[in-house]
Amino acid sequence: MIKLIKCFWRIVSKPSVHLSFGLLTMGGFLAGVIFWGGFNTVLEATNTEEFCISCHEMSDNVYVELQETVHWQNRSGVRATCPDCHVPHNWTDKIARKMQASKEVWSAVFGNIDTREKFLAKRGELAQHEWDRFTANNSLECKNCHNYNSMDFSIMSERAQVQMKMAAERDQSCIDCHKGIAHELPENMGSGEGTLAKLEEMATSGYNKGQSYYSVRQLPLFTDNTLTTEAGQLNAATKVTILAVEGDAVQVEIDAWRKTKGFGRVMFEDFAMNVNDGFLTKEVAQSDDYMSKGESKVDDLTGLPWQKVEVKLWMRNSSLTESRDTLWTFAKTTYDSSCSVCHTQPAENHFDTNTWPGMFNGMLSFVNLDGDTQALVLKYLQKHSSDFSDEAH
Amino acid sequence: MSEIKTESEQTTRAGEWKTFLFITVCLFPILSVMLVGGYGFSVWFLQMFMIGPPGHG
Repeated sequence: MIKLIKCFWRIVSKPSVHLSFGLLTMGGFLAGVIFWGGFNTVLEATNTEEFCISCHEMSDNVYVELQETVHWQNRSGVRATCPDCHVPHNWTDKIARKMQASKEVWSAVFGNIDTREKFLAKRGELAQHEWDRFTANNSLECKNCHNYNSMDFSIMSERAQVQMKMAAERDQSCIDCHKGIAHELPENMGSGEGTLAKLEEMATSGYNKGQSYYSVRQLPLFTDNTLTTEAGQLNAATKVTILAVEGDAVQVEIDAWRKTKGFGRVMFEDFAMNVNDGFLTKEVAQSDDYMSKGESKVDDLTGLPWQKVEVKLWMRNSSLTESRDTLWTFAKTTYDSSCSVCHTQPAENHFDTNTWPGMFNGMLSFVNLDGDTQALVLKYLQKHSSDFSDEAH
Repeated sequence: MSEIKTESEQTTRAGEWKTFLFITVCLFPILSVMLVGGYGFSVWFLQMFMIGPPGHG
């Protein structure tokens, strides 16, 4: 063996005696071309859906689930295949991911997730890997197709508009909200979507003039009864009083406070309490046409001037309910189930009204709540905080 | 200048062909794959322990 290597080294380290310079260069060049072609062919072959689903762990679990979703079949006839979302397109990251797949090969060989039960037990962990990746690259693979700049907000539903515009402003990562759209969510992680839809059904239909109602979710506000010019957004579980009903539209009065520093766009439920009632566009906030101003007070704690305002705007004749009780019940259930996954959730009255937003927002990245549910749960916590609780804490 | 080489130093035409083919068909392709694979693994390990998942931009 040593003799063979020595003999090999002797030939390799010296100029060739019998083979011409041209032949060697040509041979090396051709071999290089063939190798490079072959390398890319293999790379491409392992980047196809057929390859991904060639192991039953993939084909029997995630692949079947994908077939129920819009990423499999839709009216435009475009579909996403496994590698579109799950393999980075950048070369270095792609090669790293291919090597990472050695772990998957190991698992397949030793049957770590060879039954549905084992897969379900591991789903949370596996999903978290992908969510971490999507969070780190700001949902790059989603954005390869879906681009905020190419979105026509005007043809979205009003509800989607509200959420998507906010997301676009911050170039938010898609996965922040859209978890579980291509495969099922891990157990105990169902989003509030279905329940909120039920709440929506519970919303009263037909509103009486002069009576007060509460919004079941975040709702768009408009300047007039044609509902064309946007005036802002009403937060979830916010009290409005109906002033007029005209077909599809209702005129509402929002009794709120605002801080008079800046444009005063954000409305709060009560003096010196950061319980959000929604926000106004800059134009509306600065105009006197839509509001009557009341008393002004300075909050001694922050030194900020507050002003009472009665805002009169129009909104769609829907999604209002007579009492906040059903909303609070839903919010409490969500709070109890979502927040207890990782830790014992603090009692609602453990913090005061102005402390809750910071606490709540700090934890948001660990749970899967849509914007409406987030707003509702936060408001529930604030309205049941130590400021509103009789129990001393 | 000696025109006659000793037996052990003799490079035969067949020996050079064999060596050439071995290098181009086996050795270098294997080394290349190992190099790229090693690069991939090192990036993966870096991601796991130091830099985190690939970012954006």
